[in-house]
Amino acid sequence: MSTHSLQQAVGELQPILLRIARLQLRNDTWAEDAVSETLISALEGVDRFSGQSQLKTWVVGILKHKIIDQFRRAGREISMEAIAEAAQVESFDDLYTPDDHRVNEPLDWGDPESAYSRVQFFDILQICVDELPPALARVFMMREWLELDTAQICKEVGITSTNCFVMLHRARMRLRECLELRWFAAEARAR
Amino acid sequence: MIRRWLMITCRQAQVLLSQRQDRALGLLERLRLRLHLTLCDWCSRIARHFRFLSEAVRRLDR
Repeated sequence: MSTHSLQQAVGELQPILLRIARLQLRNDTWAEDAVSETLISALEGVDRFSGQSQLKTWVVGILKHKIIDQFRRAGREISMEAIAEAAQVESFDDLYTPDDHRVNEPLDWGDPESAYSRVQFFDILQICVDELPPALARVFMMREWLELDTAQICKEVGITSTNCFVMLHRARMRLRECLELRWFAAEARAR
Repeated sequence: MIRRWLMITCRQAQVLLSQRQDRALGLLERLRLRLHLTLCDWCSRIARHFRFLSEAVRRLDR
């Protein structure tokens, strides 16, 4: 591909980059900043794009770095109180009997990977992430989407590793319940 | 005696299921979790759900 058409292809990624950045940062201004910086870096570095990976994967990789920078710059806009609240051990008492067994049977999700081909599934997943308390969503997405390790997350967010494990567990439990309720329960009924 | 050492509750198992995606579990933790999962279908489902969740989130940008 010529440099010119590569540059054009980078520009065409803007809408999807913006969608990703909004999901992560939950702030339109920051999202737009992160995307602008990503596009500038990508256009300047287009010569370095080896063509080994997909262009989109390469650009999303740059965006991930810009999102981390933006988190860093925005610093502590999530209050320490919110983080402390999110890091409290949740009892999930409604999920367990007094002897710590589950009250409700978790559903058999069948072949959950088949949901990957359904656009609506990702809309639901996004809604479930959006419904998490912001501090939980931030830590969860840093771990699972940005794929930072917990030591890096602790440093960025200013929490202990114990806090971090608790927050990740809470986020996963809630997301699991949310996906089951909003997606897999309906799928199971349809089977 | 050994039973008391190795048996964990569903609640504890689910904490370990989450943490094993974030850190290397110790030998005893792995043993307890493995034993629990062989005995508990419900927690085995949750184990699959957590794994699926990670993979699904990574696909949000596709």
